[in-house]
Amino acid sequence: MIIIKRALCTECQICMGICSWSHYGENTTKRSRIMVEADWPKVPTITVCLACKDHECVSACPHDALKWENWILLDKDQCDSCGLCAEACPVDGIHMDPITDLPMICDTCEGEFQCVVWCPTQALIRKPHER
Amino acid sequence: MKTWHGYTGNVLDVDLSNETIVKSELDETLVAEYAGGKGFGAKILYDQLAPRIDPLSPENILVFATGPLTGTLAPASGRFEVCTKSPATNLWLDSNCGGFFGPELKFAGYDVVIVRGKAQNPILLVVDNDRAELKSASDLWGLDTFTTHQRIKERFGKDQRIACIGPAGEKCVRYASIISEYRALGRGGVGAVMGSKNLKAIAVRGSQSLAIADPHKFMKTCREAFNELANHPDTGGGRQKYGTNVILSVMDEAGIHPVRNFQKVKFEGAASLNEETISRLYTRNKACFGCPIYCSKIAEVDAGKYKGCFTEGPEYENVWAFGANCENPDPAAIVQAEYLCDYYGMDGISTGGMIGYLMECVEKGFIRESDIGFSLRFGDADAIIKAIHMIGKREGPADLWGEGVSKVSRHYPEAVDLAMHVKGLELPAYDPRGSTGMALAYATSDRGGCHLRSWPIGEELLATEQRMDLFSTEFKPELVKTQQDLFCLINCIGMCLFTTFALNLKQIAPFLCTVTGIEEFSSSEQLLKAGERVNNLVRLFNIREGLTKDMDSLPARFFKEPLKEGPCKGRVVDLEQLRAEYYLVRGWNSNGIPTAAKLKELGI
Repeated sequence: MIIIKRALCTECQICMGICSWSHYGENTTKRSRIMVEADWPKVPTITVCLACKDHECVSACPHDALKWENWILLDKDQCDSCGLCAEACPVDGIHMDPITDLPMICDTCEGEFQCVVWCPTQALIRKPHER
Repeated sequence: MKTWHGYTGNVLDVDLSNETIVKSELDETLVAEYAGGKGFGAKILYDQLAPRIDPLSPENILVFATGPLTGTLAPASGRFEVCTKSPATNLWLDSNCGGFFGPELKFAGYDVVIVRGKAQNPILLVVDNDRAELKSASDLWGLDTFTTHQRIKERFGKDQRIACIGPAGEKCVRYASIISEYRALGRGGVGAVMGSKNLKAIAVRGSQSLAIADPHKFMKTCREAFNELANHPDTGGGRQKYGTNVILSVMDEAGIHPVRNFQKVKFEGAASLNEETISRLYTRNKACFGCPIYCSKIAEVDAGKYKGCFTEGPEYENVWAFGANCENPDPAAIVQAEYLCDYYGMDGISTGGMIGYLMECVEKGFIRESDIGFSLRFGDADAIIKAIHMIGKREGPADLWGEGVSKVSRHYPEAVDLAMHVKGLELPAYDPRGSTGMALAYATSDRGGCHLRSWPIGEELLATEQRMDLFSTEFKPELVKTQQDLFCLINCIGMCLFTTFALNLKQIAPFLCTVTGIEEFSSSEQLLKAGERVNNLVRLFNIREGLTKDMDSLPARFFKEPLKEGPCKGRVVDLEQLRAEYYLVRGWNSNGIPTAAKLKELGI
């Protein structure tokens, strides 16, 4: 999972750009699973799935479209874009895709953590493996 | 229909007089020749702006233009340009800004927004992807830029990105800025042009993505460039730590940091006003879109009479303008001064230049203190703050001060030499007596007294290898020309000038050809030629507006008054020969007019 150090975030949105790029091959910040929101001049807010243990999004889904398997997986065919998962998320870590209207949930780039790799300030870091 | 890469291929043409909005396709022939940004603005204004109009009349045109890299993952590519005829110089003006507005415009599907005419009442342009509408802005008129941002976001969504003016722009202060996401398109009065059109703001939201011609090679280029920037001592070191103030001590020690409106170069307050003391006020780093350099800072004052004051900055130029230039050693007052400039929406350099000029006029008795109404003396921080408030509102005598030093100095003929400007634009923070490069850079800049058309001081004072002599004229014309063409190109493509500290044109060219797929962009010679083409077109624009050789000059002080102290003691500027050589290097005739052969070579 990703650990967030808000105070180090400069709002450059490189994480959002690289997230959209990694998942959809598109140069935009609008299809990102991680969201940086500015509240100038205050420290920005970063929201992304933090891979909590409760999986409230999974329980909240009325269509059984979500399941946990190393990260949250979405079954697009089951999803009707109701958004209840996003509402249930305790950390506002689920964002709706402006193009498809499906929920976008961090899959850690299947362990590659592209946002962590590209963040210039280490505002995003990867939680070390629990031993 | 053509498939565009890098570019969106769309232009939004807004006529405020008729309240019409027309969407059209970008002219394909413009692209390879003029690249984008400043290049698009130059071509559009040269072709479409009637000569010798009043810049504050409805006839003037505002061009908001992005470049092919704006909004891409290329580092520091969040920039856009606003081009128009300047109310400060009556000549060409382009003003550049980072932040998030440019990328958002691209994500909404537009490369360029052209604004013409004048609205009858205060108006607001709201762009949401395909939908573009004009809405009443009567309830926003009179508001400062910060509240304007807030209100528009409350009304149309917090993800709207905004470019707006404040009270100074509404009242057509000739150096009013446009404030966009708390950053400024500072110089030359773009905000006044917006105000003269009754256009309070443009708000943009988009949800699209940009097509990249060669994604694989593009990402490889990005990764390499990010590494270069991170490893460079400036872009990955000093600039990240101190912001643009990183050069303060260097300039002070070199004796070219102007003090008391360019009367001297030794600043008694340097001990309390340098990059170290200023950086103590920084609370966090701030970046523009896609930028790993994060030169911007949030500064907050935690004690004293300015306790609680904050700003995004303060930037090097403003630290000088309200610091050494007014002989004020208090960083806290500078934070407040910069905040107020953003609040009213006006340029910090010109505002500080105006106040410095007034202070010298008072000191020398050319202007009576009773005419000003309060004590305005060098070193008085409270007086600086008071003057900024007055200029922002154009209150009392400050109604005149809103005209800028060039126009104000005509009211005081004996004090005309005290007005530190080139072509009507107030000078920034380098004394040209200490640098032949900067002397030529100021004199030949297309928008007047400006350090961002070329920055030879970097090669004269800061270069780690092959440093050039500050006082020698050798190769300075060549240096200034090449830098002007390079910087112009950077302003065309939507990248930040600061990337050029670490990346050369050979490293930037791969971005352009992998993003756009345009073969011509793979050659750095061709790219530099594009920069030269735009500069020559702008020169033709300026000549059409009445520019003459005499105006490619400097304030008389630099020719007549030798520096009295420091490493540059005894120096004055000798411009004549330098300028003549520059014209020659440029392929212009002895009057500074591009020759037919040069224009043919550039395909103009």
